[in-house]
Amino acid sequence: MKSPPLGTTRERRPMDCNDVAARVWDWLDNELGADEWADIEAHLHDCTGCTEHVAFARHFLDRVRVATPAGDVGSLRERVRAALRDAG
Amino acid sequence: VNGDRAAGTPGAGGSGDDPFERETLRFLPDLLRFATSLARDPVEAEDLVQETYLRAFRARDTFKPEAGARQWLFTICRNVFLRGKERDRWTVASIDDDPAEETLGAIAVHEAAQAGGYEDVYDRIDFGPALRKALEMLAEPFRVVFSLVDIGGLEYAEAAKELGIPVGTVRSRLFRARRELQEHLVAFARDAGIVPPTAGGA
Repeated sequence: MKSPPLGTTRERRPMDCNDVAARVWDWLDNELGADEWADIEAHLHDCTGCTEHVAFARHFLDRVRVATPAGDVGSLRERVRAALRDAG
Repeated sequence: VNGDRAAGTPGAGGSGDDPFERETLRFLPDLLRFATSLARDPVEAEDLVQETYLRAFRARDTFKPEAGARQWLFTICRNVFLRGKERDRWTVASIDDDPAEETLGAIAVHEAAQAGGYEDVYDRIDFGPALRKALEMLAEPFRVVFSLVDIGGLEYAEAAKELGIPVGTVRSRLFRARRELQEHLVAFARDAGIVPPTAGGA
């Protein structure tokens, strides 16, 4: 889990579901400023629908990040090893 | 530079007592995943991995262990791939989409999945091969941004710098790539009869 950025005390309009929906990727990627990050966090605390959107999006990214490579790792490893020995 | 000599190198099957090999070859699966997402076809991806290792080997004296071998290899791999292309391939003016619209498109994929009762679609498909197939369907500028950020682990600003494009363009390309990939994955699941025939549009 990403650590929250430093918060601020400035008063802001609460985000609605559309605001949050448009920022789901930025939020998951930790690419938002502290204010927006905190606003979304607050909205998600109370909104099941947006929480489910975020969970679905996060699941996609999680699957992407652990997806197995398509190629044959074993034979490529031997090929690279042979090339390194030729080079050395 | 595809090596025919890849096949059968007697004696190369050992665990490897060379320090360079020991330190770097364990990241080969990660690197192949990254290269496979960058390159369009598997042959290019494997060549890219091999070239990465050869360059790393030649530059091994400059390696700083504190930076981490994995990150070092990823950087070399990225450089080999990107420097092998014309720069204007990435900077060319393109019709970039609205990032917020693209994000809402991804939300729509989820809403359809909820309505169709297949929210677990990514667990129902053979994800790795399906992702590979979906990546092949993406136009290169979108695929490369996705690869740098989602497989390579770069921040938006870092990817922008690598490609020489604005951060806003990275965002719009990344979000479009993710939206399209999700749509393709759902379409594959639909074609395979894993989710209802009406799912995911056409």
